[in-house]
Amino acid sequence: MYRYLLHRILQIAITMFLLIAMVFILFRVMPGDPASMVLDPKMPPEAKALMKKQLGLDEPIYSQFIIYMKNLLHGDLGRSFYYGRPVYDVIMERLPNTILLFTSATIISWGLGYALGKRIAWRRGTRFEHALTFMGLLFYSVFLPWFGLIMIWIFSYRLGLFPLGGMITPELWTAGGAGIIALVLDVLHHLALPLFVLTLLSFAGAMLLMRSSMLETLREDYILTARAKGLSEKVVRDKHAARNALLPMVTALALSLSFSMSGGVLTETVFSWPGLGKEIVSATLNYDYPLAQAAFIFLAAIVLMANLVADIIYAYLDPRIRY
Amino acid sequence: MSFFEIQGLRMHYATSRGRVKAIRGVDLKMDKGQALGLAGESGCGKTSLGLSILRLLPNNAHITRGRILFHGEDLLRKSEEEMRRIRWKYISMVFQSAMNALNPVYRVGDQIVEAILAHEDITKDEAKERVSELFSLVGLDPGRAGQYPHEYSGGMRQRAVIAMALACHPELLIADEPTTALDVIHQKQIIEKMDELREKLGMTMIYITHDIAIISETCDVMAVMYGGKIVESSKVRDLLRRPMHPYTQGLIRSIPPLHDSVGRLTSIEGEPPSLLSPPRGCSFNPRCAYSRDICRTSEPPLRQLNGGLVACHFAEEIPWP
Repeated sequence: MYRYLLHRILQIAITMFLLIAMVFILFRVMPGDPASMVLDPKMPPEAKALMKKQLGLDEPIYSQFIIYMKNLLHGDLGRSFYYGRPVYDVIMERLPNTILLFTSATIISWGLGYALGKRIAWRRGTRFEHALTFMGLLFYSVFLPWFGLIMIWIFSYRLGLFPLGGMITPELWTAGGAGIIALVLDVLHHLALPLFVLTLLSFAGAMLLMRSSMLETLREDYILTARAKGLSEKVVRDKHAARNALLPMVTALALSLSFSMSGGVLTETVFSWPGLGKEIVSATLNYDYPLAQAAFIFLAAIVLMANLVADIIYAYLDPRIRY
Repeated sequence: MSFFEIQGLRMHYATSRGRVKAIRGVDLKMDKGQALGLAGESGCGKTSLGLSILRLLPNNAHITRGRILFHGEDLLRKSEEEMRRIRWKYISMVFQSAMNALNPVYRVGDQIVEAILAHEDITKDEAKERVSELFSLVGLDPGRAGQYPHEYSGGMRQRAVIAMALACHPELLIADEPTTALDVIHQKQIIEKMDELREKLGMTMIYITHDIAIISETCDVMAVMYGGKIVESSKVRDLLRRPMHPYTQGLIRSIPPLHDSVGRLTSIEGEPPSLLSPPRGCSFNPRCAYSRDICRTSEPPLRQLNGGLVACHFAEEIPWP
């Protein structure tokens, strides 16, 4: 196990290095120039040069890369060109918002997908299965921004049940005097609609994955044994079939969870959700190299770690797997 | 009232190509403590018959006619819950692919405990105690009950599956090709073990196999199945000494004799019948050397002859050297 872990961590380190180099180069070959965004065109040339020097942009690319890597190894992600604040602070400010929305949506979708998937596989060929599969696929193929806007129009604009966007009501937070419960309720009120839309449009993925995995498991001989043993239908379905069908779900869920950290760029835009996805777009558009690089590297690290965690959980769930 | 009886059972699978008539009228009678060997080629309906008894057939299978009487009660009329209680407690089964009959993610001992606790009102510790006894009974080290199936060898898994089948002391045990996946040495050990256990526990047993040698060693009565029907049945010794049905004769000719020098082995010409559209008349007639016009038009009934049962129009005339 330790040998395996060591091996995997080394693998992750190599992957990360290659990825950082790629991201670094990609941003620098992108047309355009951070100086044009940061610097006022009416500035005198000497001031421009001075500022470029301060940002470290006068150095050749390879030495910029070496400096960047050195700082990274010390845990220093640099300063955002745009905000003028440490990149780390900006990311840590946005990330919890993204986690709140996307991680809860992912967990609810997968929980729902698991519960429905095992049931429709168990009752294969019934109207119940056809209806759920059809509905799931229908919502799965809907374009989220379009659907999101329609939902906002119906529930927020026409019916006035939910806010039009954002994560909080600023007046409530700045005025003071509001209790903690009122503040939590305010966030939940903002969260409800995007969470509902995201879950509705994504549960089918998990459901169909669970369904096919479950159908495969139901063909196994040990399921026949379980039924022959006189176990109740529910025990056969949940303890014997679903437990085994869960195995392929773990990897997919871990990946899905890690990708959810990036936040849907489109979703966050539609619902004006102040998360990481929205930040990545603006950082890229603003030539904010340190922020954009850090965000990408950060997400890649999460994806790689999630894979490792999935493998470890896998070994725990399936006694046949030992590293 | 017999201990166990099947009357006129008919069953088909509904497939996209039509109805596959897997069981086309089977009658069977067994006394308590008897061992019946059910022989026949692959695809003749042996396994379907075993699964019908426990009502474990897949959803596309339909039993259209017949009764399965256990202690005089028709199993086909039981509710799903009544049936659940009968399974394993009264009738249990060793499956064809015993290699995969154990769930890979649970410990072997726990899977047996689960079966016991589903039927008996005893504590988990008592059930574990019984697992140890069962393990010793089938010749497994009780210390290995805490291991997972993949940590067992093929022979050990087979023994574990047999131990599991015996867990609730069933009255009737259906063993469907329990040793096909094993090498000859293990086969012999397991067969002997099962035979020993059957005598010790007074179990009634249905042994489904294509291996006539095994039947001759362990069973009292033998029935031969062909094309979804029983074509011949009688005491094992009688049947092997004087097989009456041409198909049974062919089966016996195709096994090498154990003690005599090996002469010519003959195989049965042709293919087993399609159960999708079985031939008219006797289902064996296309492969039968003795077939005449009547065999192609009229289906021979299973009738009494020389102390056994045979379904052939010309059983009296067909010679056996």
